[in-house]
Amino acid sequence: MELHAADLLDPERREAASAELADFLRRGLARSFGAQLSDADLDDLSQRSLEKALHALDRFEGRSKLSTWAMSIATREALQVLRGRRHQHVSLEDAVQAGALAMEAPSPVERQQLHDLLHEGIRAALSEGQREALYAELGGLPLAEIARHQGRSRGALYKSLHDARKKLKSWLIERGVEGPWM
Amino acid sequence: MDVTEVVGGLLGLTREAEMDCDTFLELLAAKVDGMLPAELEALFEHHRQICPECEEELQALFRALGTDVMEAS
Repeated sequence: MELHAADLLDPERREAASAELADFLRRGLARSFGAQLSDADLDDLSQRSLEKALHALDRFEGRSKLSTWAMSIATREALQVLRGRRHQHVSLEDAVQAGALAMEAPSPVERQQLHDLLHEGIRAALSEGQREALYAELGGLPLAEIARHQGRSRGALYKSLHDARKKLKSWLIERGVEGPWM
Repeated sequence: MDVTEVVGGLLGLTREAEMDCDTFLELLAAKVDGMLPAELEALFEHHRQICPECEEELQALFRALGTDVMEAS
């Protein structure tokens, strides 16, 4: 689909261009997610995504086609909905507990030493917040959901976990554990 | 799930400098349109390997546009 920002900004062309874009987004979502999204979902998501795209139009920098950029907004919205549904009954606390329990459980014999060191390193080297996020991730919550529970962006959470991984890796290397890790 | 394997795998992929999810998601559309700046390619591809959720976003966008799926390199 060829679409230009001018089409959406021009009062005379805006309505038709918006309708065309909403239809394009709806078809793309149906193609991408199939039966995971109902017709009502598709209607709702395509409209919401159109509104988000129109609202953010002044921030579109031309680093891609406008239609692709708008579709990326739509697929993100859809995944947010689907992830939310999958994990709606999982609290952050439940996920943290599940991850912590998974760390407590024994590993296969050949990995037990590394397992014990990882367990110790997570407790010694990471901040409380980093431990919580890591355990929640190991407990099966997606980063998007962890971030939502914690009220921060996925990027901020990722940076925190990246820092945690670097700290854990350094802690292990200081104790003579080097790669290959797995 | 063997968490030792999971965490060990993550540590093996850990680099000093990594692209975060917010940046990756901003660049998704550019990647799909073949307009990702060359200097960001390696960081982008690394993030695909280490972040399954972001990889899922990329694959969803490819499918939505009817583009052939590209595996992470």
